[in-house]
Amino acid sequence: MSLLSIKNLSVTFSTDEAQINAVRGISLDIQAGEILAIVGESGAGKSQVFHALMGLLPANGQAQGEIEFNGLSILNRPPNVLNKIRGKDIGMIFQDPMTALNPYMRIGRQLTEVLEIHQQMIRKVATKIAIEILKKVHIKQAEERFNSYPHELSGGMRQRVVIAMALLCQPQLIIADEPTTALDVTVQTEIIRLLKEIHEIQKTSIVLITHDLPLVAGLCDRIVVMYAGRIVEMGTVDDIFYRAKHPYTQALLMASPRTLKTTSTEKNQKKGRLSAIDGQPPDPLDLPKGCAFHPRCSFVRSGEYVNKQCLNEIPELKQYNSGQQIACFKEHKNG
Amino acid sequence: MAKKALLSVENISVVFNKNGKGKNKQVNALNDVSFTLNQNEVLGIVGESGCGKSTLARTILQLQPASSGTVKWKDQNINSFSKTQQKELRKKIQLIFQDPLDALNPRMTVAQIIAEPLRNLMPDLSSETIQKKVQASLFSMGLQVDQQNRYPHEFSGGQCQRIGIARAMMLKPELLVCDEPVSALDVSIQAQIINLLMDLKEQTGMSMIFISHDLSIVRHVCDRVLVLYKGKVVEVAEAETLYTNPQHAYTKTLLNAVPLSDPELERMRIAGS
Repeated sequence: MSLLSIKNLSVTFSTDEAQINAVRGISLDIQAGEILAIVGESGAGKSQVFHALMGLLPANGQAQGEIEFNGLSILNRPPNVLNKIRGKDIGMIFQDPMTALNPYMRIGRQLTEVLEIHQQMIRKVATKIAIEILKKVHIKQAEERFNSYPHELSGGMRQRVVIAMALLCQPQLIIADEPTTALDVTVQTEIIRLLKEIHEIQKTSIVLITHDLPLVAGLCDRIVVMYAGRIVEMGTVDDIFYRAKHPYTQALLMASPRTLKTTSTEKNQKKGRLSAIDGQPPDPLDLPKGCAFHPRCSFVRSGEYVNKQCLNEIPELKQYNSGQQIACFKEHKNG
Repeated sequence: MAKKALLSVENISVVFNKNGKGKNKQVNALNDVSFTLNQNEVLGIVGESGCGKSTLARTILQLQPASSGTVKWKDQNINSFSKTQQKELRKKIQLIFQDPLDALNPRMTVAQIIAEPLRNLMPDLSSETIQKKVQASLFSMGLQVDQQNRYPHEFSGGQCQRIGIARAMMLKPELLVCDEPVSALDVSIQAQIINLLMDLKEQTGMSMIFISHDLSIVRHVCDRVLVLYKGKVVEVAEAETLYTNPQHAYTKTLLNAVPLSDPELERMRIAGS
């Protein structure tokens, strides 16, 4: 049985103007001990999947479908049920470590609070454990830092504190939502190494939500690529990086300046040109008909592959023999 | 042909809280920084947050007075410029910012935002001329002319950055200072904006200072790269040389920090100390 199983999840937001479909039918299984990356642009719905799971949707947000964690249905459950899981079995790491921490509380208290609530520890024991965890996430002089306020720490240190907080109750699953985006490049690598280390020691499952593909290349087992609220491709890290099939995944890889391009065409290219994805990310209020990516798809734009299906029908995610799953009519026809 | 220096920065230091009163200590944001920028050149400035990248940009733009040292524009010391000369200089140096939405006045329409530099610095122009220029500029930035009466919040991040660039390009600057122009944008949009900037550079022959913490983008864009560490220049080199043969230990650390787009190499990079 998988640790977390998401079945046909949809998330909609009702606004004055219209209904926004942020997530449009997603099914996903996460195994125990697995590191999974969810990759997509802003607005792809990648964060909303996990906000729905944690019961963190705003008042105008609605989730439909089914989510099971350890066999227990957790979607749309009341806070008293979720509170027993949140922070205990599922830890969460947010993008901006400054807003994730309470600026008025010393970090030590913020850490011990978690243990007192979830594990009914007395303050003294909780303090000891919290300092141990701070050492584990490589915070130097943990005893002194324990009494610091968040603003006294650097961005990288704050993120370590947030990670420490997520680890306190030894959760089975950690959800890290863009954990390195607000940090410097050198610190990003340290945080990725830390997550890897935690995974190796505690065998925790990790879901890493990011828009930066290369960032997850060395850390994850599987990658899920999302576009406009749907999964467009899913496969092992090697599948995605070496054998990406969906035009969006391919374009995303090519657009990254980090991609090592050593082909001869590169030399002929004008200096400084990157292969951009044309057009804008889709407007969730006015999603394109058919495959949401078709207005930006290089095959459709160049006329190389035009199929009425692309413009009118939504492609289903189909599994191939290799285990890779792709939602693209062009691939369905070839495969 | 000898390269002509457009801008030269000589021994600039910037000290914050100079007297060191109270709890706050004196901060040496920039320490004896010198470099020259040649015409039609793209100079990259890289370093971590807090290393003085943005302070350097602000000093060049005269938004932040230097504690010591001089900034020269075409061999003239800009500290000794008269008010009129300074105003002339403002036409020639323009800036684009990191947060595209933050950089635009939320109460002005796109047309007003783009026209503002013209109204301020070229008051002789007629409204019709301005209107025409605004429309031409929108078109060349890949925006639609019928969007000109909308407000900034109605646009996506990438579009806002295009508006910011349109505003900066309005006066045909000779130097464009880009302070982290793409770090707030999605990967697919980053490439569009970089390509747009490179096209503009090619068309106008302007010089650029490109500030970033992302070395992989700097490599694509810049001719020369300057590495800042704690307010000091630790290395200046041609972009390719810097990437293939970094000299300073800090440059090597920075280069090692860039994630690689190949799972096998990246796993090795993370595993390595």
